[in-house]
Amino acid sequence: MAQIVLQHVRKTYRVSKRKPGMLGALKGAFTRETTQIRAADDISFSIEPGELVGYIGPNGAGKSTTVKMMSGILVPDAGEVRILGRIPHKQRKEHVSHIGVVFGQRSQLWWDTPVMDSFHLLRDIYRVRESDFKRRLEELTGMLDAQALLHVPVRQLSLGQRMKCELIAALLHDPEILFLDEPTIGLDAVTKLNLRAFLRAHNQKGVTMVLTTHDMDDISALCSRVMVIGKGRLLFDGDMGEMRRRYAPARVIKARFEADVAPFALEGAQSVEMDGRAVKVTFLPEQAHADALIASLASRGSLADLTVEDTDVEQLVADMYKEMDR
Amino acid sequence: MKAYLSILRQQMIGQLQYRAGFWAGTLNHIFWGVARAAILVAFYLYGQGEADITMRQAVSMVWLQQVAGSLVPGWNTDIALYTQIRSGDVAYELLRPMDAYAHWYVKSLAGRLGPFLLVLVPVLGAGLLVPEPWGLGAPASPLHALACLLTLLSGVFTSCAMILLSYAMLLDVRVGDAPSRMAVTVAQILSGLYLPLQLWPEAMQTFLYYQPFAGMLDLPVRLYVGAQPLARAGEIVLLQAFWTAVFVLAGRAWIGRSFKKLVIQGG
Repeated sequence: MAQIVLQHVRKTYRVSKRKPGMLGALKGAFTRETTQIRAADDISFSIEPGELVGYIGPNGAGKSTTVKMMSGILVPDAGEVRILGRIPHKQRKEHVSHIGVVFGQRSQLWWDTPVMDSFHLLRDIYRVRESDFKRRLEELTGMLDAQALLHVPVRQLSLGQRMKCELIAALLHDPEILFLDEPTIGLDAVTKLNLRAFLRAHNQKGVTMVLTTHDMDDISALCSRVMVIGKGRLLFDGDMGEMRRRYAPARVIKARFEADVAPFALEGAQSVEMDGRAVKVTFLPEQAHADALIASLASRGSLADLTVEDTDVEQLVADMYKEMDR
Repeated sequence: MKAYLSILRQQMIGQLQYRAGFWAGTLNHIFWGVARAAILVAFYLYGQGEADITMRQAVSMVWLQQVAGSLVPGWNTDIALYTQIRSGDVAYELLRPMDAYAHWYVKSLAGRLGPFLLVLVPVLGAGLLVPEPWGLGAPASPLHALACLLTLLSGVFTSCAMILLSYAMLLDVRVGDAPSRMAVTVAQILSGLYLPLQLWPEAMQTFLYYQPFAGMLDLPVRLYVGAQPLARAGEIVLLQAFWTAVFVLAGRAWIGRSFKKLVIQGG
């Protein structure tokens, strides 16, 4: 049975418009124009236990709104959100004890005191038994290599250290579902890899995860399934392979000749771009075979280097976002 | 229940650990205690007309207000929640399996009690050390002092209920933060924080006695100096309980309504 079910969910914000400057402010005190922004417009999907779903979209597309509705802190205007059989905003207390949430740009730790104090507090708030708490804390700090951080005041942690602690905080009560809203924002490469490995390991233990991010490497590295949202609408829901096939079916052969070669065209290829000795051949797999193209490349001169690549995911997503704006 | 106690403890620890804050707070309170006592003494010595309380009583009340002023709603001590609401970090509070009202209530309880405990001994001591007529006098009797302390502590519950009401105003984005700041200022004035209420015009005394803010500071302090008979201590507690109930009911209703319309802004 699906753990997370959204059916025809809508959420509209009213944003008041005001002219800038003093005059605008004065005018705004008496009359106010509001515009409606559709942050979620008829969104439906369902997620099975143990899935790790990437949820992407440009800024302001409605990702966070959806996550907030799923975590029970925003009330949808219409439609139904059902998580683990509960309606989040109606059964909030019951609901939130079964989920964990990490907002990358906010902190749930108590700023003034050592990390461990925050963990103890969360233990009491979620009513975690002392023995379970000890076991879980040991396991989580072990996986994240965070033992040394426990007695440092939160305000003195670096961003990466803090994010590790935020993750531990969100998982202490052993939630069945974890919502991650840009957990890798601002982190260095090593810490990112660290966190990804941690998330993957945890997902394999059966925790369902919904990951919101702008980092396409996060998505490629972690998610079997991707949902793309734009202007409040769900535009794509499927696996990475399908997304590629649909939005960026082209593949690219990059090669470098050992000597200069005269410009040429290749049958079956969409384009051939030459830049000195380097050549970039774009083709669709259904129109041409890679081996035929490589063979005919090799027949023009001896090749120093050759790779076959997918279109860059970053580029793919950028193209998709651009399409939304049309 | 354990969760709420933990939050209370955690908040207190958070407040008690800044040494500079401790010294700044203590010296600030002592400085203003001396200054306000000097002003009152000048008024009593050179002023015309009668007052209900003696100079000795009035000056002692000023010192007790310096000690217990933090029990009254203030603008400075609950900045944490204000900024949380403004920044949207309030989202995390809603992610806890707790009653949000009770959660914040406990937090503001800590916000009142922490600073109070911090300055209690040093400022009280300083007041007693300052010579007559500018210093804190002895209580009317040990029992009066005890009644004062107990009613101060029961008054905190009214204070916090009032603070929660100001949070409700703050959560209601249509209202902005001006009304809640204004409400806090009114509470401070009517609690006698700036001037003992018995020095206000005679005609206002009945109103001043029964309004919700007197029980937070002025009435308890009256007990210490004997400006209110000990027999009325029970009545004061009842008055506090009544206003606490009114504020809690209003605050709960308002916060509940605001949550339904809550918009957590930003990423």
